[in-house]
Amino acid sequence: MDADGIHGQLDTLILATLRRGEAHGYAIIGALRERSGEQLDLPSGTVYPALRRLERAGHVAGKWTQAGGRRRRVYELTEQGRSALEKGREDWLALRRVMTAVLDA
Amino acid sequence: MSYLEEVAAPLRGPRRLREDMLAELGDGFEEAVADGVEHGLSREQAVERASADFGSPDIVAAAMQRELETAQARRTAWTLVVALPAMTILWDLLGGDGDPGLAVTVLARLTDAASAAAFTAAALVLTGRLERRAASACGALGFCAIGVALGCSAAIAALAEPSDTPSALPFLVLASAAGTVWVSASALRALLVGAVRRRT
Repeated sequence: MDADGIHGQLDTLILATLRRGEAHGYAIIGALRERSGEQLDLPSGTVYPALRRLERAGHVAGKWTQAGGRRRRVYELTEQGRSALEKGREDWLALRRVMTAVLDA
Repeated sequence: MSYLEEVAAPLRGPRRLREDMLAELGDGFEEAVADGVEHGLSREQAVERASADFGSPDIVAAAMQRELETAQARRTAWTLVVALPAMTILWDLLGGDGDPGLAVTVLARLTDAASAAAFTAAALVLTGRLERRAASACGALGFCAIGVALGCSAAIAALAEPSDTPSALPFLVLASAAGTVWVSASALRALLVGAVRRRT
């Protein structure tokens, strides 16, 4: 599935990768790739500005850390982000129900 | 040119945020390259694969530029929200209290209206109600407010009788000049950053 096919859903997908704990950009990219079964064909560099946008919206909190000589910016879900994720999930399920109902009718 | 340099080239906006975002992207890119090398690729092959995975530098730069534009819009909006009322209040407090005549009053109110328009737009940006082209809007309205203020001030200076001159005039002129430079510089930066999107 290309990036257009998930247009508007990238934010929700990124939030979902953070549900189980904090992660840095490259780990989020890896999680998106792995959990989609390599089906998500996304210019992964755009995940970084998307994280900044989510941070500005208050959905994630980011901070620089130093681990094993490597500097990384890690992000964690905020309470607001958790609500946004839940809403994104519900919106997606509703859309899927509508699509399925019409397409399979 | 390296991948990171290609992404960085067209970016304009607040320097610290720009460098911070590029550092993060660069760290991620290096990690992707290291990943490839670990999986048996040559460094050259790994860089090529990471470049393909990360996507066209134009696309990544455009997404980053949107963040920089938003950050610049907020900065300029803060400048407008602080500087414009401060200048208006200073003139109201220290501008003397004699009746300056209809023409001068109209010119002074025109200046206030221009400041109020720019202030309102800036407040909308800061409260998140104006997002589209926010940097350009703040820049353009900031310049308009300053332009109207300078034009009206010149006209007032030409019209006013020497006896109307408030005693605090030198201070007012100095403070307004400082405010004018501050607002203009910030408005110019906002216009420049807002213009990048049209070029890319």
